[in-house]
Amino acid sequence: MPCNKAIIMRTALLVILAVAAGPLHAASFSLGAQAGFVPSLGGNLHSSTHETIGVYNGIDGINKSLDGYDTSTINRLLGASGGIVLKATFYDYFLVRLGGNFTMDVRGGSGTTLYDTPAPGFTPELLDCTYSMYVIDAPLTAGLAVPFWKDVRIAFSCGAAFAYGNYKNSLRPESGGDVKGKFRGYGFPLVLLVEGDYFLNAKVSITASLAYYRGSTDIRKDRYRTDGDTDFARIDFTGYRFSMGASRHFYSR
Amino acid sequence: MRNNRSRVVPRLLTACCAIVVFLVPSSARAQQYLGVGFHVGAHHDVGNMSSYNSGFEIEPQTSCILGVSFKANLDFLFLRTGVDIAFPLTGGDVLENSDPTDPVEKYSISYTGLPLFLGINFPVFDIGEFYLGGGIAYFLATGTVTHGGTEDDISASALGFGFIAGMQLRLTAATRLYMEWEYIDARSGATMNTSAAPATWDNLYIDFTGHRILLGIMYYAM
Repeated sequence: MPCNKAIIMRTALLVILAVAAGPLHAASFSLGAQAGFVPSLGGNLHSSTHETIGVYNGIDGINKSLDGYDTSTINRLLGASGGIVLKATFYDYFLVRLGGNFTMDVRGGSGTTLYDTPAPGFTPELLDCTYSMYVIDAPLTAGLAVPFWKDVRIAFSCGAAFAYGNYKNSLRPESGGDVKGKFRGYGFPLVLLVEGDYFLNAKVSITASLAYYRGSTDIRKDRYRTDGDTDFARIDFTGYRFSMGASRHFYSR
Repeated sequence: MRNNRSRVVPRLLTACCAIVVFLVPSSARAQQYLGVGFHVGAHHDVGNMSSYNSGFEIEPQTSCILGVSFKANLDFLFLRTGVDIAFPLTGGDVLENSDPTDPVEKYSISYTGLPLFLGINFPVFDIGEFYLGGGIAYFLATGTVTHGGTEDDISASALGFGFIAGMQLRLTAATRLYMEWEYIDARSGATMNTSAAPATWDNLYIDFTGHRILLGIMYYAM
């Protein structure tokens, strides 16, 4: 019996190698680095604590202003991202792409607004708000690449990403207290990706890519235990990501 | 005061656009890859009111865009800027409102956008090119919002971030037909009170976020 198992394993290995040998022989590979930005990192960053102060659309709806109060606009997060890209192109037209990105907020997410305290009547009070987030993701996509002579290649691919997010918020009323939320989680957002390569020579290309992610984690529970508030939120990976970079191409033929 | 400013700003911008349009082509002739284009376009769901308040069932506002663009190409890089003026084709209506604390009924928003994108050109033989870039845009808006039976003027500004994806098709040696898809993410701060009493704070913001499709002709001064 062990002998049969070994034969089956060897046969399977030979079949895999035989099947793979064709495409691999006709493949080219590239390794690149990219940097870019993500508008609205984390979406509107809504969490259940926002609803306790009458806000139902997160960072968008939290902004209020009133004469006599020194408020400042709290903008959605702008993320800056950097990462690496591995691409394999088979028979000139078929593309498999694996990326690895780190994205963190670099703008927005802090300011001062107003909320209506639970006291009777309309009793606004200043509220300092801070939001931050980072995401680590690895998109795997497959699709088609169209070469235009040897100068340009445009590719469209789709797939999914493993995405891990870490989101924090803090709502601090002027009268004291600090309600914080901290959420971690991962998800598998769907990914659509358009990418262009402009070849400077046979080995090096300049790239620009536009990706759309759609997906979020499930509802995560606040990890802060000492602020007397238990918050719930999804970490939203949905949004567009624009990147530019350079790739080094390795040809197997 | 706010009304005067809201009238003067668009006029000043229009005048500046006209000056730029007429002056730049003559100076651009000295440079090699500089194009001046005129385009029309559209932006659907201006204001994103259903995102502003999930209690609103809306008939979204659709705007027509008229604009001028400037595109400078330096080898594979491009810089694209311009001015886009968006006029409402159909105003926005809140058909059903399940939020009695925010009785918005109608809205109509006009805006001027000043985008600036940096990206990469992907030439396709001698036919034309694809291009893809990212950048920023600054928006100035004026408009009216009807809430609780009264119509108020609104004005706001915002800085946003987004991308452009486009293609150009060569018509003659110096002119090209172009089509562009722009997406910008931008929201103003709270600029108007629409909350029911007793809340007197400004709560309504203008959301400029959205997709814009543009179609135009670009003249390259070689």
